[in-house]
Amino acid sequence: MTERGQGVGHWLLILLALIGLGLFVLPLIGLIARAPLAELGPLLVRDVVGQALGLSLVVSLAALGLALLLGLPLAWVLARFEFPGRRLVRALVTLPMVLPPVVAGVALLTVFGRRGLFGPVLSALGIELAFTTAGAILAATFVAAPFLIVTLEAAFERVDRRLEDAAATIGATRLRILWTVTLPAIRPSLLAGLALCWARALGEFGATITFAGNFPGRTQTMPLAVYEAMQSDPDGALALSLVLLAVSLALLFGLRGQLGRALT
Amino acid sequence: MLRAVLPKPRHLRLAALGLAIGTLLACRSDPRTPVTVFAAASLAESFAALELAFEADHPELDVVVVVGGSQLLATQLIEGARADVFASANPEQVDRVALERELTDRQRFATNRLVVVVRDDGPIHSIEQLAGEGVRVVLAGEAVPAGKYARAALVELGLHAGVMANVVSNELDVRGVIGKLRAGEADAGIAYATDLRGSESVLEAIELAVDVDAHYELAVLADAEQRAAGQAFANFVTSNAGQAILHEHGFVRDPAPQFIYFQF
Repeated sequence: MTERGQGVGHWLLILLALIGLGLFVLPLIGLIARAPLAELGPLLVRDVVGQALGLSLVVSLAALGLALLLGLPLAWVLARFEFPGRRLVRALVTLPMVLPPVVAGVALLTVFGRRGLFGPVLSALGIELAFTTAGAILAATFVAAPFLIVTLEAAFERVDRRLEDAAATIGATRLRILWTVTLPAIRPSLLAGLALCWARALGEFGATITFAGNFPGRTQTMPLAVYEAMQSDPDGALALSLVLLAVSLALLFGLRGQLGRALT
Repeated sequence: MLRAVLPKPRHLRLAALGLAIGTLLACRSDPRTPVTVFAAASLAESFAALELAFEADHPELDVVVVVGGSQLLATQLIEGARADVFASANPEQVDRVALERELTDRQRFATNRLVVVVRDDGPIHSIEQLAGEGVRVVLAGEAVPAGKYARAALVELGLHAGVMANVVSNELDVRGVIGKLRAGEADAGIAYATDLRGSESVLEAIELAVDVDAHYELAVLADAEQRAAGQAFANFVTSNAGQAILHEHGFVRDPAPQFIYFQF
């Protein structure tokens, strides 16, 4: 088929594209259409909404901070050093991206739970993770950080090494090169990675409920609150969903362009 | 860049083959007529046994038991889920469905007792200890039948305030309570006596001397595709043979199946 060729395949692709578009857009329209807009005010001022939204912001931002603190060095090491088993390490780091989150929660229990590998050490130190906000943050970090790491590693690989080498010849330390040369060069990727990571942390459900439980104000983030409300109070669930949708749209809007630029 | 990402034609062919096999497997036809039964989470094992016994008598039928929190199943039915029979752990959830969908053959079919569940290697050995400082208690959520019964029992025992202060997680169904206890993350929970049957080695029950019993009701959806088969299954559950199976699984035998008449 030539560049201009049309034929049946052309229309088939357009038809599939339209079905795909409907599949992704219609549920969002449905959410808005079904939402009890008249009672939205009273539904949204309930304690559970404020608590869940506040907790979601705290948990997702803390997870983002942790992901940056630990993920940036990890991505840098993976991109800059050749060592045996690097491919394996890279695969392991990306595993939480494809792992079902509930499995991630079970896995976290085996290490950080009360009866987990580090359980006795943690309780001796007075650190409680199960059923605490710290546990919810750990769960969100575990599932979300790989999105930042993968984006950053790819960006580090693409940086023009001559710039770093030039900085090194005039005596800059590794940390200084990273801070003044490398990071500014990958700024769009860094922002995109942070956005993906934050969005994943904000939407985290399975690992949180498995590892940290479900308690308002402590571990009940927005997704958990939506799911619990859905079980007996669908109107409340719709109202909560609208809030999350608004937050997600604000995130997308705030980053318009950045994501596209970084991922191409 | 892009070329490297695209799968090779050979891989595409393999993927197509996989898709074809998957589709064929999914379409593999079962000549039996499916009867869908929505059952409370606490009925998982007993209804699996009822299913086997019923299918032995009705080789032309294939009972599919869907288990979950009664409140979740009720919401799904209200939203239009296709099911033939609904078996709920409390009458309230059947009431909720009855407001939106026509039900027939509604009757109580089992009674269950509440127990405090603790780890046999844990610190809790009496009900009063549940209100002790630092004890981690897991309950089912307020909207979950097991959670409602548990709160009512605590009120009757005069322990409500003390124990509620120790609750660290509100689980979405009663099996979530058992799961958190089995993982060793919580010290105690309240569940049904039937939840501890089977090969249970790490958990033990403390009897609760309260008047709160769980009453299970079932009903047939009037618009069910397999209404007659659904009624046959419902009748089997309340028959002597069905009641004997429920009794084997630890449910209290009701004096006589009670029919509940709708009052309008």
